[in-house]
Amino acid sequence: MTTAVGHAPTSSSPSTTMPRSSVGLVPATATLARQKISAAIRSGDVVFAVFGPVVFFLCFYTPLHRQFELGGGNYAQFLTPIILLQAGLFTAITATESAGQDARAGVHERMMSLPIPRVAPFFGRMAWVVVRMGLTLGGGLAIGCALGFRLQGTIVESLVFVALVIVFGLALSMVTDAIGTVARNSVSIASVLMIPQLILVMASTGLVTAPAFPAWIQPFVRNQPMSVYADALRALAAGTDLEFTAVVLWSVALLAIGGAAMVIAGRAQVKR
Amino acid sequence: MTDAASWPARQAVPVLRQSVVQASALLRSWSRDPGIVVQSIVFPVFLLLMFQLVLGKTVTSMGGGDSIFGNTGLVALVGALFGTLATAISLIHERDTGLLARMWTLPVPRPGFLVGRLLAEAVRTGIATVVLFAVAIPLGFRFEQGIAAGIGAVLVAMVFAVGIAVPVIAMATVASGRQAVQQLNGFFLLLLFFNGGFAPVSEYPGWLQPVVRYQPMTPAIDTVRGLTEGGPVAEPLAITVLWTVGLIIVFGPVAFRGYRHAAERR
Repeated sequence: MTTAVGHAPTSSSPSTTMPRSSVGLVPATATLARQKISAAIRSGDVVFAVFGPVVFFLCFYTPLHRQFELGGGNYAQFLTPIILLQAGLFTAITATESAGQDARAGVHERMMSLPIPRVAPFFGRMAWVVVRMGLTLGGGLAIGCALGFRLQGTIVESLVFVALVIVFGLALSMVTDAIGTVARNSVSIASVLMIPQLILVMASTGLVTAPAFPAWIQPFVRNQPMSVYADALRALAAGTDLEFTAVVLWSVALLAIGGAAMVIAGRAQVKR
Repeated sequence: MTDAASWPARQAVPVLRQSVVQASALLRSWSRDPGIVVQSIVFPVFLLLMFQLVLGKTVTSMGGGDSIFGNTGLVALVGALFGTLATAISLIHERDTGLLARMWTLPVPRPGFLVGRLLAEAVRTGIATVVLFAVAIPLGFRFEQGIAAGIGAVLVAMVFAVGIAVPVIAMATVASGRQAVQQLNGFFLLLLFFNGGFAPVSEYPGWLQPVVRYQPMTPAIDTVRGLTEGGPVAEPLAITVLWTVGLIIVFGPVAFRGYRHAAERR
């Protein structure tokens, strides 16, 4: 027996197997992101990402555009920003469900036993969020442009337009991903999140202009983040000047909250 | 001998009693499921508040009556639609955990399972509609046609709920899963926006107006409007009943076979 043990290191097997080493952040994230994307293709979430904004655009545009255009103006130009932002909210809600499924299925425990950076699973999920936002932007812009939406600003303004939508979806998804990771019953949470989604989309300057609201709620309507983003996106699309301080502050704040939520959720995961 | 004497005689359970017991058990378990409560009651309440706040003035100015009546009718049906999707998810859960199979072995008439389910859907919608009417009253909703007609309006929503629940149960049990139920979500969303309660039918493009006018929600909304604000009742009510009966005739056998399949699978 002692000889067998003594012989083992000198036998050929150790030289053929690679020494154990940890996987770098980039390859680990790429693999996990690919896995998330193929899971989304299988579950049909990709279809929802592209056609969700198309359906919502038609749902609001068809019955409301005539009344809006009586007062002059192009409703497609007006509506497209809020449709893209709403798609960002839906991406965030889907992120809760997906993180919750992983948490329930014990995926996180398995990930933590692997020699990968601890943030890689998180980055993998967020990579899918960015891809999903890209798909959803494609769907929303396609239907918007078909009915009269135009990016009339410079190339830079158009790129900032796209970036702003992606940052919005990403920052919110960081928060909801953390919620889904910590809370187990994420299906119920997703249906509860539909209510703030509804309030933020409807009670904003995205569908109708602020003067259409009763006076008591106008301060909220004008200053809530969806309105701030919708106004900024509209200015970028039209190529007009706008005060961008508010939207930059909101973006930084949302990203900071998302980062904090991610750290808190990550710690809760390790302690469990 | 004493054993045989103390053992109560086996006797058939009437289908009605079985249905009521099944329905009340379902309602109790649904009331503890946050997903179902949110989709049946809480979400419709917020939807009504938002529709009125954001679009109320605009839609009223389009003509076709005060928008609160159309919106209240619409949102009561939305609770029926999206609530039934949530209960379909719980039905799939009951199948996967084997509860349906256990119930299937009980010595009770089997049609009672489905009848009880539909009864529970109707009662769920009835409760949600009463809550919605209570929320709508401060917003300007009134029973202009009297309380009896108002109760009739609640019954209309309940009839609609039964008609919608049959194809959803068929879908959930035959097409084996959540995927199918989630696709219905998108379809119901279209129904939600393309009907005569969200905006007057005349606001939709001409080629779409027949679809908007005769899809199942519009006649039911018109009936609720007729029984509360006033207006024609007989014709929209007839179309609503026709839709419900038609959906039961077409999807009833599918739902029954699907339910049997779901209960016997394991």
